[in-house]
This record gives sequence, C-alpha cells and structure tokens, in this order.
Amino acid sequence: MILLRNQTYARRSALGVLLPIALIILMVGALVWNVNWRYISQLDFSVIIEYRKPLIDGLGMTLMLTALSLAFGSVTGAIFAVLLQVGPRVVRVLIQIYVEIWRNVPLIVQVFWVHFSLPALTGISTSALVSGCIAISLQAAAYLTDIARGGIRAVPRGQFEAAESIGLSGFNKWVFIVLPQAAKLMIGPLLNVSLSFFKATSILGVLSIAELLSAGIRVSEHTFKPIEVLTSVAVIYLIAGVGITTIARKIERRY
Amino acid sequence: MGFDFAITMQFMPEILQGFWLTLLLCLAGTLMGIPIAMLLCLGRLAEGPYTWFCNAVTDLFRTMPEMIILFWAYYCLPLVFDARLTPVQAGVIGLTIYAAANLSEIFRSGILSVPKGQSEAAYSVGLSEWHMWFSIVVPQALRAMVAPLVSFATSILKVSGLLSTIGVAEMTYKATIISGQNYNYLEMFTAAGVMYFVVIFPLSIAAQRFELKTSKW
Repeated sequence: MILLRNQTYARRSALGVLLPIALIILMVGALVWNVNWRYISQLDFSVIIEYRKPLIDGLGMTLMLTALSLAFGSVTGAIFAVLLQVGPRVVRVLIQIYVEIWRNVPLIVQVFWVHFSLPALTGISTSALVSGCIAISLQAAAYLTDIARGGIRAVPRGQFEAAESIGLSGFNKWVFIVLPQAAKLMIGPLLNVSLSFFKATSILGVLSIAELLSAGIRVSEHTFKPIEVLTSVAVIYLIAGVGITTIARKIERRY
Repeated sequence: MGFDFAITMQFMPEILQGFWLTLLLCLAGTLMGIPIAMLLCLGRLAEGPYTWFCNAVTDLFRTMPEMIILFWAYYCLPLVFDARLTPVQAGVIGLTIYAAANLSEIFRSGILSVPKGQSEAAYSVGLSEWHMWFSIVVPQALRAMVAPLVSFATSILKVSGLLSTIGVAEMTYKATIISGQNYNYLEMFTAAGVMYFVVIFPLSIAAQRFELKTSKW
C-alpha cells in the first residue's frame, strides 16, 4: 500500500507503489535511451562565461520589472480595494470591470495590445520597454486589487466600528487601522503572486525587451549553442525563483 | 484612428480558426498531462527517493517560467534527441509538461483533503485497495478538486497564448500575423482579447462559485 504522508497504512502493494515506480523508470529510461549522447558530450558551457554580461543585465531587468509591477500593483491595488468598499457605485463597477478584464485575458495579448493597439487609439506611441512596464503593471494592479479586497474583507467588522467610535476620520481609519491589518493577511497570497509575476516578466520578451529569457535567446542565436545557453537561463530562473519562494516562506512564517 | 468593425468581421474566420487550435492544443496538453500528473501525484504522496524525485520534477516545472519550457522544447529537444519537432509538437510537449506539473499539485491537494478516517474506515470494513481508492477516496477528492481544476483550465488557456512565440498558428499568432500584414493592430488584438475573455471569464466565475460551495462543507 502506498504510504501517504499523513495517511499511513500498514501494507504496501503493487497498485500504489510498484506500478507507478515501474512506469516512471520506464519513461525516464526511454528518454535517456533516446538522448543523442554524442551531441551532449560536446556541450561547451564556457559560452555562458563569455556572454555573462547580457545575461546578468537580463536578470537585472527581470528583477526590475518584477519589482516595478509589484510596487505599482500593490499601491494601485490597495487604493482600488478601498474604493471598492467606500466608492460610489459607478466607481465600484468600473473597478470591477477593470479587474475582470485584466485578470481574464492572457498577458501576451495585453502586451501586444498596449504596444500596438493603444497608440492607434490615443496617438501616443510608447517604446517597447514602456509598453511592457505598463502592461505588466496594469495586470499586477488587477491581481493585487483582488488580493487586497480579500484582505480587507477578512478584517473583523469590530475594527471598523471601533475606529469610527473613537472618532477617527475616514482616511485615518483606513490607513492606520484597516490596511495594516489587511496587509498582514495579504502577505501569503502576495508572495505567491510575486513568484508568478517573476515568471510572467519572461513574456515581455516578445517586445524584445532585453530581460533574461530574450537575452538568452539572442545569445543562443548568436553562438548557435541553444542547449548551453537556454539551460543556463533556466537554471538562473530556477535559482532566482527558489530564492523568492524561500524568502516568501520565511516572511510568511514570521507574520 | 477609430475602431473599424468591418475589418474585424472580415478577419474573424481566421481568428476563430486560431481559436479552435488554441482549444485543441489546451485539450491535448491536458489529456496528455493527466496520466503523468497521476504518476507524479502518487509519487508525491508516497515516501522515499521516489517521492523526492517526483517533488523535484513538479517544483522544477512549476517554478520555471512557462516561456522557457516552451523555448527549451522548441530549440533544445530536437538537438538532444536528434529528432525533428514542428512548432505544434513542441508546443504540445510544453503544454503537457505545464499541465502535468500543475495537475499533480491539484491532485495531491485534492487527495490530501480527504480525511484520513475515510481510508482507514474503508480498510477496516475490508475493502480492497482498488475499492478504497476508487469508491472512497477519489470521489471525495474529485469534489474538492473541481474549483482548482476549473481555474487550471483558465491558466492553461492563458499559457497557450505563449505558443505564438514559437510559431504555432493559434489565436494570438493569427492576430499578430494578420495585424502585421494589414496594420489593423487595434481591431485584431481587441478581437483576440475579447475571444480569450469570452472563454476565460465564465470559467473563472465558475471557479469562484465552486470554491464558495466547497468552502461551505
């Protein structure tokens, strides 16, 4: 019997353990068997050292875009979430529409839309980097509005009433009483979203913004060594992603 | 420049063609991902090196950006296996990996949400292991999995848009190509965005509803 981590049973059997192990070994074996080892043995990872500059710059750009989208998103998200509670009906409906539109359309379409379609509407054309920043920040704002709304809803009613009963103004009530408590509740989902926006920055490469992935693709096309470069880029993403997750777990545990 | 509705209608058939391919690719990726996800899920519920391996695979593909999975599949897999891959094949492989990693997490949390007492009770009344899984644990786990599965459908639809970057002729790609030829960026990308919204929005509303329903239990 399979030994579930919090459901421990006495017996083991073919169905739970042996069959899956056998299947996985078969799959991995078939993959390994078909690898072109002659080619793999010729891999030369020194290109990474040679072209470290664009890759490091790319990583910097990726982290910058992540930080920018989260910073813009959390400020706007907090404002929108408060407006969703106290704003007039028209504002609430508009914010709701905004959130749903930006949450339910793929980022790649939004990026193209901001870069190519928006200038046709407004007449102002933006550079690739600016369009990319706008698109990812607007999407972050939508996701974070949703998170902030959840956080505000989870603050007990008594806190609102207590703030009102001691005569705090609306502004003071929100800024000093409700939002700090909501922020504490929001930390978990916020950190999840930060990982997903870290991943999403790679999509901005379609506008040839030199973030990590598109820098990697350019280097691999220049050197004709896609395996070395793309694998290293993947490893860099992985290390940065694991770093973000680890920090996130630490912060989450602290609060 | 305003929005020209006639142009949108003129190219709508092509956009819809891309839309069908989008749906088809998502379906293919999900269906191929399910068996792998089940294997990974069983592995992650067990103990030992097997669990370690399955956890590593799942975390690996969940932490990496989807774009790099696709690009790796498109540029590197043909070299590694000395084979030829069309963009569609590479895209389906990428989506399968994405689906397998994310579904295994959904399956795992679904099964873990079934109280331990249920399977113990099944054993104590002498049900076989097969019965324990498929008559007791899986039906209850499925109920908990409905909401995450629906929101998984929305996220794989969003990820499928990325296949346009490796040249799969799905909806985003069609919009890019048509608008590049005719300079009607506003109409084409709006049309593509609306089509995505029309599919994804009901799904995410449904996911929210299901979540409310399950959280009541």
